[in-house]
Amino acid sequence: MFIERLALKVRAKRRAIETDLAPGLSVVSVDDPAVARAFVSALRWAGDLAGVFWAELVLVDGSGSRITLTLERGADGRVARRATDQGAGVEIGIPSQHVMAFALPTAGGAAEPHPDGHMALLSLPLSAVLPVAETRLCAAIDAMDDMAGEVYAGEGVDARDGSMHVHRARLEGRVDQAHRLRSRRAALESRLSWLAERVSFIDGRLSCIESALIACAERDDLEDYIERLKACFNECDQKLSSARVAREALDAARDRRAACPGSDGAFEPAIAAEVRSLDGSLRDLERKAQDFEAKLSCAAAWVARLKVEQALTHEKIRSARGKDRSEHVVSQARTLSAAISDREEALDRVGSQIASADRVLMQRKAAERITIAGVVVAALSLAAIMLPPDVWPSRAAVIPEAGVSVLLTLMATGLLSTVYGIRRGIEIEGRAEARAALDKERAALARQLAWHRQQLSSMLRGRTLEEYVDELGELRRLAQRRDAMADEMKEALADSTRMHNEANLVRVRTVRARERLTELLRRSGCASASSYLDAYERYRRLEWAFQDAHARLESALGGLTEPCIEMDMEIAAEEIALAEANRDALSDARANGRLRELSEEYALKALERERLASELAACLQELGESESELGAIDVWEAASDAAEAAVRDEKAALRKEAAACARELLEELLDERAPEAAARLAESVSEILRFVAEARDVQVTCTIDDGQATFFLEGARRADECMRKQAQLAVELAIRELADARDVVPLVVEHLSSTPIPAGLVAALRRVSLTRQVILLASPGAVPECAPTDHIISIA
Amino acid sequence: MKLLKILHTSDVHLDHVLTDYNRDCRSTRRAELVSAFDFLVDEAIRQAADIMLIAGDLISARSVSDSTASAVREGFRRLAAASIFAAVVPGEAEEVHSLAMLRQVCSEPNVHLFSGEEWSRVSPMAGVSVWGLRTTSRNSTTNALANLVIEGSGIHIGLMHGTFEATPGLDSFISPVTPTELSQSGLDYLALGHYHNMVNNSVGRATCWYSGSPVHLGFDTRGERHALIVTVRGDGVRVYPIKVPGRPQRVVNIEVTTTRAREQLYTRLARLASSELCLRAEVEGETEPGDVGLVSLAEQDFRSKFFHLTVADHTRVSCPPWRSSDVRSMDLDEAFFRKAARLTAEPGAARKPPEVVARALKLGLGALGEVDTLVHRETRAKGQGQAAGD
Repeated sequence: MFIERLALKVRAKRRAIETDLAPGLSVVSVDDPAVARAFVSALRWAGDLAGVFWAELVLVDGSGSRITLTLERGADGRVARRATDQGAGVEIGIPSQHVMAFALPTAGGAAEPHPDGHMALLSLPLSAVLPVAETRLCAAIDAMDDMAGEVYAGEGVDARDGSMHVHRARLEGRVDQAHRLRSRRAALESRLSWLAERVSFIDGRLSCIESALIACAERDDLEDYIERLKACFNECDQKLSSARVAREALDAARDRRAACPGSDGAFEPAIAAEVRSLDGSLRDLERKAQDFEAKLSCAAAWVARLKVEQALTHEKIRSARGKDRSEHVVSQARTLSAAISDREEALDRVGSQIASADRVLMQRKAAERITIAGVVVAALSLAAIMLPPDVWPSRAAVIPEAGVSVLLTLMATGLLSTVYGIRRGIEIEGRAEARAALDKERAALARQLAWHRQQLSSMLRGRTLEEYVDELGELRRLAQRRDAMADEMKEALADSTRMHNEANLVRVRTVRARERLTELLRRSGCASASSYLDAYERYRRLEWAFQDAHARLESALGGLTEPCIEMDMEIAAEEIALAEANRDALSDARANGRLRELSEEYALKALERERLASELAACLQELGESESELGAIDVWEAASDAAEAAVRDEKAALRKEAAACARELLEELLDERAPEAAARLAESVSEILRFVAEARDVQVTCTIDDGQATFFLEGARRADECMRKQAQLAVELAIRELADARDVVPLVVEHLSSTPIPAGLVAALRRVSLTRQVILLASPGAVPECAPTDHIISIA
Repeated sequence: MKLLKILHTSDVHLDHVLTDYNRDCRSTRRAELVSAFDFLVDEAIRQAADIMLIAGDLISARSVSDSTASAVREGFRRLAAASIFAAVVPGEAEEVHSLAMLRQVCSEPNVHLFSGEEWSRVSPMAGVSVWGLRTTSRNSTTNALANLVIEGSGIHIGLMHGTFEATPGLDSFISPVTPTELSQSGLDYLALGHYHNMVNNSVGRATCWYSGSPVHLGFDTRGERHALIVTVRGDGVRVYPIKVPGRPQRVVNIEVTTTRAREQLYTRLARLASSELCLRAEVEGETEPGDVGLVSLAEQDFRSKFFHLTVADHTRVSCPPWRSSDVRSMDLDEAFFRKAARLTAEPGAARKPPEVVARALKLGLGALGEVDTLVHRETRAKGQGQAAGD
């Protein structure tokens, strides 16, 4: 078997390393010790894998199959390993061991000089060097040792709290304690029983003494009692006498009251109160009746007056209605009046327009004159201007140049006047036409006005509109007055009816009150309420006198009756006699002189009782404690456990003895077989050493002493340090070969110190690599020289 | 003459420690003992017995609890309510603290406890005398009936806790009773206790029975459990055993052979499996060296199928076929077996008991068989293991 490839991730450095390894010797040079440790751990697949985060090894076994070993660290830090057969692609069991590790000794030897002068190469535990069969023996011996030491664990017993003997003793102790508690409980119960009896006896005796002692006190008490009874008797006697006097007074008062008329219940306070109330009510009702009569007459007068007024109003209305006045006429009249007013206004307006037109027409002449004057002036001015100067008679008459302008101005003025006169004439002509129209309109308006006035006059029958309206308003007021009077009449009649009803009600109530009063007075025989009330007052005074006498009697009796008082007196007399008899029957210790003796005994017994009571309480408390303590112990459980522990002890002893016996037999077997196995191993070591050291004369021997196998290098070369290291390597290889029955596993050699590896040792490893893969992990520079066949791997 | 009816029982051993049973079923068995006593009380009431005789070992005084003592007192109260008289003699299981617990449970007025070491008499009813004595270390070696002197006429009943000579299966020897003494004692009936199985030891007209324990206290008793109804009248004494109901219990012997030990053992246990059964299987025969742990394994496998299961290993490991004529065989099992065989065969001063050697043989073979040599050696040699963090 050899390791074809190794890939790993170093945890501390967070770096990934991947290397291919040769089937022969691979020299791996590593700078960093942490990386080197992780590398070795990954190769060995065991040891401290803390530095490896992930690793994968590809193994090639003897048959050429590739197996991938994968190591993964989960999130929780746990390491998961798995092996996969690359050919089949299935997960397989992890090989028990796929490399053998060997740490090169740095200096000297591991073993000390042997007593015979030989220098030991190596000393190992016997179990580590023997072949399989003998190793089984060693393991079996160890198992027997374990069994002898852990007999209880083998029986499934929890031995944490000490040995089983202690456990058993404790259980037995609990049972014994329970029995002790039970004995104590029984003793306490017995003692409690005795104490209770004794206390009972003492109580009895104390009771007797107390009886004797208190007899004297009782006698005194009885004397006092008799005195109290006698006093009570006398008191009753006095009470009876007072009661008799009070009863006589009561009888007299009762007689007086009986003699008063109406004592048969007519003078009850309730009746008197009712009579008084009825009397008052009657007076009140009579007054009310009078009031109602007066009001009724007033109401009747009012109704009569209203009727007269109503008749007058009716007459007025009737007469007003005869003139045929109506709102419609008023309305039409108002319309006509408005039309007349409008016509009149229009007429006035037309008149004023005609007057205005007349005034304009009067200016016609002036306009004609202005026109003519203008024409003349203009013509003259024009002629003057146009005429030659010689026309003129004189030169003086010739018009100067300044006069021309004046003439021009005059001509212009003449022209303007002419124009104005024409224009004015035109206007005046227009007005003249308008005035003719106005005349027509005025005539039409005058006709309409006359027609409307005629209509109005005929409608109002000759009255003015205001008169007509006043008459109509009067008629309306009368109608309102009539309606108001009708309402007032209704109200007056309702008021009269209501008062009439109320007067009737008062009348009825008066009658009923009189009837009730008569009925009430009938029993007393009184004719009127006032006489009844006087009699009632007299009767009440007699009643009060009677009640007073009765109260005095009750006071004298003190809540009892006379026979009762008499009976009490009899009882008191009997009780006095009985108490006197009891008093006489009681022995008086003072008389026989034993009082002191009894007192002393009482004190002693009371003291003893107190002591016993405290003992009783203490015993009860102790009993309670014992019960409680006993309740905490399950006797059966403890006894069962103790018995079980005893049985277990017995079984354990037998087992221990058997284990010791077996160990003895196994030891014998080992002693018989170990030397032979050691010799075989030494021979194997010698052969390997001869091969790796290429020395035919070297010889290694092995001795067994005290469970240790010690190897010695024989011959002249035993002092050679390199040879010694080669021999140590040979021992390791030989031991390993014993186990390598099926496949040859790679050899991993560690040399992490900076000390150079002897060249002979490297050569030896190279020789070993002819038989198995060798991976030498060394510090840089530790390997002196490499052969061309060496596979060099450098990890910086 | 009026018929006298007696219920005779003994060796109830209430609150016995019951170490023969597993821890988890022991409490149930304990309750069953109390139930058995209650059954006897009920039966005495039902059968209108006049007297109930308890011939010793009513309680296991060292381990009896107060609750059980109360239950017994309650039983006696029920007997009192039915006008049944109870006579009790102490047994050796009650000789703790001078019978303190027994005195406590027998404190009811209808119960008479014979606490004297000499014969004494009690008359629960006219014409009936019950004679009894307490067996202690002082009188346990003397013949008990030799000191009994019957006086008066009527019915005489004896009650004691002791050994009737020649009782099959009874090897203890306390207050012995011989047939001759019994026939000459003048007793009409002698109620015996101490032996846990029902036995009739009557001689002629003298009737004498062991009632046996009404319950199984372990696996030393077999079969059904009984109490006795004894009727006495003018024409003689008649004894009727009554069965006391209880949990089924069996002790079986399972013979195994070398090649089929496992199959035979498992088949038989599977056939017997019952959740109500208390079973003790005595495995006998020969097993191969590889089957040394078979019995304990079978017990573990079948424990849940029984109310209680004990499998006792009485097997012998068979000698393997010798692979070598040499005494120093290369085969470890064979060599070890030869050494063990030689140890038992060779006479010597330090000769081990055979059961120790047999056990050692099984232990050694088991250890050799269980060792994974390679891992073991590597672990030992390198001291390596998986990292704690792993």
